[in-house]
Amino acid sequence: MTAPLLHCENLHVRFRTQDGEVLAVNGVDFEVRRGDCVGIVGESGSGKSQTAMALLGLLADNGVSSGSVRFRRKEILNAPAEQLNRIRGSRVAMIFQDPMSALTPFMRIGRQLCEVLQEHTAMSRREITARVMEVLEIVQIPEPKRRFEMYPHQLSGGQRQRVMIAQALLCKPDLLIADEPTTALDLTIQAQILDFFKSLKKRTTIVIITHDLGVVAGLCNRVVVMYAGRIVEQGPIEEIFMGPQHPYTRALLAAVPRPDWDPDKPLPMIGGQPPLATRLPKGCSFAPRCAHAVDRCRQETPELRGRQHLKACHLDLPQ
Amino acid sequence: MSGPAAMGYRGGDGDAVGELQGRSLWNDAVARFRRHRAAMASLWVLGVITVLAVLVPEFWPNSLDEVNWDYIQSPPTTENLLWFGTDVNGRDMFSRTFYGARISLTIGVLTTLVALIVGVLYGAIAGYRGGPAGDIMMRVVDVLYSLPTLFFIIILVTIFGNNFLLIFICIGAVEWLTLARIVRGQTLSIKEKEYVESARAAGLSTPTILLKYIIPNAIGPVIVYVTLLIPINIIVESYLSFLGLGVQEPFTSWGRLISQGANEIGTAPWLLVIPAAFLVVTLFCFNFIGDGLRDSLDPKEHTR
Repeated sequence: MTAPLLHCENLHVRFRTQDGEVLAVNGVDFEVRRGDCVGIVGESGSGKSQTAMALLGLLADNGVSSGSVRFRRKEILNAPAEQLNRIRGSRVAMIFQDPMSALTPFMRIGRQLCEVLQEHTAMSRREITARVMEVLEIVQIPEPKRRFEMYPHQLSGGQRQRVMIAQALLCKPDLLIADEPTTALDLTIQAQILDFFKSLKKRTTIVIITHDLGVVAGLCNRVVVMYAGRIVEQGPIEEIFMGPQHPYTRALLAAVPRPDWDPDKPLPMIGGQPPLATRLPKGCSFAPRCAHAVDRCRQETPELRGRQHLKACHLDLPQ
Repeated sequence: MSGPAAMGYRGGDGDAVGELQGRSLWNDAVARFRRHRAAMASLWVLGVITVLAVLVPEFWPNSLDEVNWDYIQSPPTTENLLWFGTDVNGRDMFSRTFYGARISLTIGVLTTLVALIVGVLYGAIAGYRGGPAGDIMMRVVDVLYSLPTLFFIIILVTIFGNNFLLIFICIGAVEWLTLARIVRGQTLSIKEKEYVESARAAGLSTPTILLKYIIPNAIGPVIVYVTLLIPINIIVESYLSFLGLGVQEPFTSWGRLISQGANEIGTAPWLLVIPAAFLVVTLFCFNFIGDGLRDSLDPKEHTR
């Protein structure tokens, strides 16, 4: 077997805050192989975004990460900024959640895109412009020549997200990390951007972070489910969706509204609140909300076990 | 802010497509500034004073240090082009006032430029670095802040001697502190913005991020402060000249003219009133321009 493109081992992310230390990511292991499209799902605060930020060394000032992240066999976690800057944007690109605020308001679209190529390549000005136009065509922005001269506030949300994707694709990255790329967009635009991500799968490896299970179902071949800073279940998409093993994954899937749902019945939901990252319960973090929890769940933290399809749960639930 | 023109939309003149050009936030701000009457008028007045400050000392028939023996301490008169009168030595006040304008405005602008460059860079670096390094940088600012400004300038001028270049380096070296604080505060909020995160994720280097992403977005309040700093620096130079530490004879500045005029206030009030009037008008102009800029750069005014 060849080495995975991205290998993340025992990743911890801590934040020092005034309320004490917050353990946002608590020992995460996963790997991404070339050509994969991996979905990381979880509720708000489950640590999925901070995992991605830690990979690229983009944590806030009070964040500390430990563990190991290897990209193309090289350790990149807590690497010096110069080394990271060679990888960021060129080998690994990232797309952010809110396209409305991810472009600096004082620079024309074209300039912002050219900037990335100027930093990472030795291309001439003309080659850079040509490449930017080419990528703007790839992301299907209407009239790229006009958009090139415009400022961010003149574009719609969908167009800005396309510009963000274009920025990510400029250097033909090996890995594209998308942090909730559709959350801030309205439904029809979401559908367009998702279709576009499907076509992107042929170009690059993708890690997509989302709380929208529909996005994962339509796009990914592997799923990582996170809860309270830990991975609770991961595996191939069919197995997770057809036979979820962890009670949290089951509850999450049950909570997705279906088109045939009877509007008179209450929507199924998971009772209770996710635990505070400053006060994680002893044992399994999900135990307080879990319908199946036994005494052992409240005492011992379950480890992530399995071969292809891994879960972190003491119980073997019937199918 | 409504109507087709404000939206950057051009129609009716045979354009099939509206919204043709890239309109930046700056273009919008300039358009708003142009509608601010007091600020535009001030800009004109300042422009006229500047042009006169450039031209009068070069081309006026009476030079600033030439003694007119027949007109010692003469009140303003149309004879011999002595429109602002002459001083105790019979020198033409018209020429001297505009030479003073030249020095005062130059010092005002240049010192502010020094303060601007030092303060903006220092503040942006301190804010962006954050952590202990940034804290230490700001404590240095706090310490310098606690020194009495004028006293500090006087010490510098006394130690390093008294020349034109040093005066504005000295004033600039003191006035950058507030700018550093403003910019640091801005930077602290801007560096959390997604576009900075996205620039970091795109692997851009720290200098690029500082110069192209942070500073342009922090510059709004800085510009407003700068229009207030220019008059402050003109006044500081006036103090220094008043104390005899500024520009030396036969050259002059508004502060120096006022200090000399103050001695003759009983016998020749025009020696005080004329340069003081110019100073006051100029200060008003800068303040109005600051007001106009503040209104036009205010993000709350942005209609999206």
